[in-house]
Amino acid sequence: MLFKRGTIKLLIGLLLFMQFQPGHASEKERYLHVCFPGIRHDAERDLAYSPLIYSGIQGSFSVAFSSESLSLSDYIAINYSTGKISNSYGSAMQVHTAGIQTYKFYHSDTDRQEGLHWGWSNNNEFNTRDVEDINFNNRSEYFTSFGPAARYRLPFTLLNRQFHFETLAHLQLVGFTLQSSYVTSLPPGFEDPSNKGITGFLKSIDIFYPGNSWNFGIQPTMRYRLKSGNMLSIGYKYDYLRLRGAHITEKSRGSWYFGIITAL
Amino acid sequence: MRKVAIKYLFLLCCGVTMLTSCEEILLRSDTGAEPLVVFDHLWQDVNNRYSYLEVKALDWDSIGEVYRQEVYTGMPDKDLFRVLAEMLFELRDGHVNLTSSFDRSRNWLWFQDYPDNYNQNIIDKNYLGKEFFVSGPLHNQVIDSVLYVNYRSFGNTIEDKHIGALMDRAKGMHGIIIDVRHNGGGNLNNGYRLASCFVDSSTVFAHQRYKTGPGPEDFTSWGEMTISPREGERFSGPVVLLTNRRSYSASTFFAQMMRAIPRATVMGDSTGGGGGIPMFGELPNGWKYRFSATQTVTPEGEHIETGVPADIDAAMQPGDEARGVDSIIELALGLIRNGSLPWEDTLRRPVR
Repeated sequence: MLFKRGTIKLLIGLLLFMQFQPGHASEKERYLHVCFPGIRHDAERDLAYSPLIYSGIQGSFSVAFSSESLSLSDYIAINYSTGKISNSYGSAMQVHTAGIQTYKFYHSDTDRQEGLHWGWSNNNEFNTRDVEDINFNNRSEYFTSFGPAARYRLPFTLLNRQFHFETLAHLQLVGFTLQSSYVTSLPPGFEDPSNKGITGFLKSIDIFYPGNSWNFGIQPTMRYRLKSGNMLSIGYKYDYLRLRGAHITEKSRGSWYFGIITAL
Repeated sequence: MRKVAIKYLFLLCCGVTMLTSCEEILLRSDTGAEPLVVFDHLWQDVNNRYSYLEVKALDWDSIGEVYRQEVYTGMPDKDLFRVLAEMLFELRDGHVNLTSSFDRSRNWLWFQDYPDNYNQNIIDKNYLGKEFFVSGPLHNQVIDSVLYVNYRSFGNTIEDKHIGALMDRAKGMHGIIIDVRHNGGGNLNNGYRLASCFVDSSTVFAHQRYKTGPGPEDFTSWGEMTISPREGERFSGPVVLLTNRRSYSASTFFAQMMRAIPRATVMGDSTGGGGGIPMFGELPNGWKYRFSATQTVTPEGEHIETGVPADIDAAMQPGDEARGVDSIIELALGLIRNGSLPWEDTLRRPVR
């Protein structure tokens, strides 16, 4: 109960603070996006361990920073989620995901707030899964990739209030992955104890390319702009990931979140 | 017009995505749990990742054909389990199990046809006695200036403080006896910790390699398995390791460690084996299985899958056992007291 009261007070305080924040009129606008702990539905399959889909609800947290100039928009987000997922027979595993994703969009000053903008995206993600009490119980994968991205913005007015609809989308095309080996938790290059550091790393990486690995996502967000220039947002982020290393790993994930976007 | 169409198409896609939240749509559905699908999954994974098919000269294709004929659509779970368990039994490997909610298959031939050579009641009553020390999982007692250490399972974690207590108690002793008879294995790291007390420099005791693909030769290169000396106090006197056929898996690895240490002697019966580290998997019907996915050989290139032989064969004598005497401990005590242990590596027997 105390926690709930404290949370509500903090929320109200934050909202008031945002209401009275002065707006910015500089050429470059910077925003801090803080998403309150949201929920994420995760469905995944790791053929190294099981042909079955494991799915369930996880807790997620995200914080992002964006910067917009007359012709360029940058966006960088740090995401983390964790939770227990299970298969249709009740077996469970603990999943952790941490990632950093960036977007860069190119536009002209006249269409900055509306329309379709093209750019590119970089995605870096680390996933780990723990199955309890067995050898090699921890399986993980990491990837870094690049690919095209798009942003669509649509401002509109409803009940005399200003709203913004925005969607980010990305398709990763080229990069590299580092995954657990054919039978063990370690990346393959590190199974031989004589391989250390960069040698083990180089012997472990696989190339991320279309047809071999896939990662794409879409992130629609609805924003309500306050008088201060800050915004409240509600959004959904979906992404699909398929990595082919020693085995195929697939993930299909969607997160709901509520956040505050503060002008810096 | 085109711009408006794109706008609404985009909004529609986003709206559908947000409202449905059907994350599983893009994943292929589970294959279903038809008996033949389950059978084929298990057969294929063993074929691809089991590490001893060639070493044991197993014709897995033929074995699969024989057992596949017994599988039919709609067969009861318990019948399917029996068929799968019998197929896995052919691998002759204690690290192979199939686990369902109603049973766990196993192959225990590595000890079932051999004498026990161990009696826990005699150990508790006449060797550990009432006043033994419990240094973590290492139960120990001083017997005629020899430290006797009984370790029941490598699954019980040995911490450095336990080793420290053991080394402290071993000061001034003529020798140490470590008893891992009936120790079915566990975490190999505990073996490394214990063995680190008896080496003065890094010592290679085995080589290991992992499966890397479905082909029979798809393995990593052989990597060295090394014991590193403990930083604190170590014991420089003779060490005798007692083993029997129920010393399995991590106990087999530990016996091989001791064979690589010149001042250690392995005594008793050959260990049960278990030289491959098992990996785990799950079948389309939710049953779990495990099998060996690595190989381990001695520095001379001999597989330890079927066990590590003792340097000195010793067995429990029925007459001794009836009188509450452990013949193997008595032999070890006698050899330590007399200083007549075979310390030279040249006396080691080759692994079969």
